[in-house]
Amino acid sequence: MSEKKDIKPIFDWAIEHGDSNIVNRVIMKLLPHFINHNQKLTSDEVSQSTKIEVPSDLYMLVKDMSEKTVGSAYSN
Amino acid sequence: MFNINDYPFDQEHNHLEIAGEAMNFHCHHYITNLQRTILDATYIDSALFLIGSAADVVYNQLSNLCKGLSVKESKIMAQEIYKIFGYGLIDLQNMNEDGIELETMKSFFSKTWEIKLGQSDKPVDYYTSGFLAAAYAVIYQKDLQEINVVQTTCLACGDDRNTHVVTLGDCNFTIYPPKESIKFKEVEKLKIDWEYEEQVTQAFLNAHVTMVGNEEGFIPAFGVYLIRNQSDYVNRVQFEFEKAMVEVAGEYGSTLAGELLIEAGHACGFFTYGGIMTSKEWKSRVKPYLKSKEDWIKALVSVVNTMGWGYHTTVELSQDKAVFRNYNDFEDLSYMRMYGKSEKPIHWTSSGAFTGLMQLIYNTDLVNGERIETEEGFREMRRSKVGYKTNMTKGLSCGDDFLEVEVYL
Repeated sequence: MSEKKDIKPIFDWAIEHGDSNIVNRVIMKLLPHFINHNQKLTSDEVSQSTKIEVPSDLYMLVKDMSEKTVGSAYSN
Repeated sequence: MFNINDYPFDQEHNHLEIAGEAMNFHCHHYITNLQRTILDATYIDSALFLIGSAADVVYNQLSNLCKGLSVKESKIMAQEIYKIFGYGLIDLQNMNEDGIELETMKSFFSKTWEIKLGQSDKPVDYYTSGFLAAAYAVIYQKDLQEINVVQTTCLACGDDRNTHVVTLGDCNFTIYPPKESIKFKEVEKLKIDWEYEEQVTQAFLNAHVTMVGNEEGFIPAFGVYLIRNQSDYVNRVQFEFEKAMVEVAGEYGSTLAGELLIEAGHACGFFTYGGIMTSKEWKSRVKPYLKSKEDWIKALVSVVNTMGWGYHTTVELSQDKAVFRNYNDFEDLSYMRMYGKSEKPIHWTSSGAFTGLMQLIYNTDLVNGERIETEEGFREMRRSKVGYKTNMTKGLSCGDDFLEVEVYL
């Protein structure tokens, strides 16, 4: 089983630095990957969660897409 | 040749129809936000419906407008409506039996994409591609399904002009079946509970005919660029996008699409309503009547009732919660005309705009004169922890008598 990593800090960072509704935009761009991993996240769930653990390959996709959408490098 | 004064505003239904197509105003913030949302979903072949939706409405409208006109006159008609509606400038002089390679440096879609979102890595003026395909079909009596259209250069990509190539060939956009006629729901309206409604609505309605494309084919107003949009174009784009998202991810795809479509409406509410409420026209003609934040909302709703979106009214209104209603809203009328009944409310734009209005009035200092309708202002507001939520409760296309939406903290 692949390692799980928390994407909540990435979304928090994206909200702070990015465009409006950026969580939904990132999910929208990666939708087929979220579906493949049986993840059906909404922005409400993201805002209400303290931790969202996903497989590390999906974590990397979320990190890369968040950086691309925000336009700067993720820093925790 | 084309005169906007020939098409009076239907004050009973808050509706404007030109040659078989319902027309309404949209701003560039809404249009670019909507199109970006759709193009974000790269796994959907959205060009099919982005071009196809435009081709469908323009074919229908131009077919009516060009009846009895020569080829030369029909070209002028197409050029004129494109300019008057605020899409920019096109010159169809070189169009012939084989099609056209059209170049223009005035495009609403490309110009405003770059203004709002920066450069794009691919052409963005799908509407004009659809417009040109339809114009060619009408003027040279071709079937839409035998036309191919491609945008090869785009101002939004850093090119010095837009180029669209229309030829006979494999059709590369969706052809839609004929639409029903527009059917209004005739029920008694709950009027806006505000004594100055009529004065404010009339003041802005009288300015309606002056809001047409300038020498560049643009309609700058209230700090935004407006277009006179064929309502079924932008609505079909929304509906087809949501449908495609359902095919990808079922109900989850619909939820995600709905949230982003509401967000586009939210941008419209924030920027356009913000622009209206800080304009000199508002200061001189409306502000003297305003005594409370609720008056600001009722006054803005009275103005929006001149935009061809239907009759908006307030059922319940306080800082914590509002219930808005719209009789014969443009989204539901379009849906019923093109798709029939819906199992769920589909009025994302209207609902998002109502939510944007609540945010502007209660979560900013706009009423005290602060100008906040900037991109950073929008981001700041949307990051706020006290943002309003939107619940679409009723819709004409669901069998209800009107649209209704709750906006609450």
